[in-house]
Amino acid sequence: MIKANNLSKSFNGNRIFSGIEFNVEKSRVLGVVGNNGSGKTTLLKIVAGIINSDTGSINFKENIKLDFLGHENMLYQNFSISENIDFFSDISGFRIPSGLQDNIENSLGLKNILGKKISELSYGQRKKASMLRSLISDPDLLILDEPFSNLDSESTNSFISILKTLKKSGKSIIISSNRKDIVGSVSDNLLNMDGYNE
Amino acid sequence: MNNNPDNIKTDIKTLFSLFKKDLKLEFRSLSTILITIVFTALIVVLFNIAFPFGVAQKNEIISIIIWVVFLFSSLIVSSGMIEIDTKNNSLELILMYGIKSEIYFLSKILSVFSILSIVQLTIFSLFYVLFQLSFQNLMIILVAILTNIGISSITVILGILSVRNNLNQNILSILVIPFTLPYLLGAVEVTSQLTESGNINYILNSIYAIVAFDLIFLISGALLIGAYFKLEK
Repeated sequence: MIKANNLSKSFNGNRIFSGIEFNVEKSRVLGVVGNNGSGKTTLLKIVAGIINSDTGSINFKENIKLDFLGHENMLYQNFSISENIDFFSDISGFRIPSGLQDNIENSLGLKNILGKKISELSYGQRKKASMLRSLISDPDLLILDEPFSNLDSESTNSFISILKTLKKSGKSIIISSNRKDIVGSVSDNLLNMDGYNE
Repeated sequence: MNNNPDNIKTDIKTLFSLFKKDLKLEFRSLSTILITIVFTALIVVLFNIAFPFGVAQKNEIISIIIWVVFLFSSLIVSSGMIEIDTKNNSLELILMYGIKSEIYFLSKILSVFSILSIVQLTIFSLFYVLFQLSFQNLMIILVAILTNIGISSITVILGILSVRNNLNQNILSILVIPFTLPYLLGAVEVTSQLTESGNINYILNSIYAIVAFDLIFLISGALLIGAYFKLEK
């Protein structure tokens, strides 16, 4: 589904990483692990097309839809969850059928707080709202940057079960974290970013 | 650029989605509108005290105040709106969805233009009351619209560049002056003439100049922002 060859990136002359190669097949999860500053976020942003790599290429086998869920929730704080969903659906031009959307809202536990502003939600609820936003566009490849950071164990477990469901439904996922134990439990392959900056 | 009618339709739809979002967020918080109206009203009242009625060049002075105040109001509005987009990296998502930078740029101009027009309506009313300024020719509306387009374009360009580079807002205020000085001179001249005599024969060249500057800033701005977003990647 996606194959990356010889990716490298530097900022202001400082090499973040070089020689990164990986591939992700349909219904597979690639875990990207490494210490802080190892370039996990940079790599994921390159895959999402938000920034360019200095060298190398990423080949997408089909014309796949991808979505990115970053460190920040990327939502408008003064909009409710529903308003954010409506806005991003409008500009992306994609939206899953309403029945399926209801199921996702229920499984994320957001059904009763869809009218609440993002600024009024807890950290975990904001993460789930971001996840809902990215799933509404029905992506084939979901790119998740540190989705478990600052989540309590209950929310983490609920997130892991959501990821497993997504994988079963045919989605491919690239997920980064510095918590190797958690990422390892949902990933088919692991890419360790430590050591690629030489 | 693909001129397929479907693509144009999608671009227009996206433009209005972005515009609607900006206005909705703005009217929900009212923060920028209130700051701008208070800022401009304060300047108007201060100048009303400083220049009592009967000053010979009243119309010219008032015209200068009007456009300088609107210029800085536009700066506040545009940087506030762009900051909302960049605060939680929402802009990254917007661009990731393949929204053209030109469409983003135009939507911001439309939003800033609309807010600025609301501010102008309020302030022109205030000017009318405080300075007994009479608008003898409705051409002033056309001049206001044309000048707003230019001011909005310049401040959106500078707003995007400064917010994305975490530049201090004070630098923005200094940067904007040389870009807009020749432009504002024309607007001031036209406003002054229209409030004085209402005769449009003297000011047609200035209006043409304002239209030419609008086109220059719109086209060069769209190209510049497109190149900047590409470079930033």
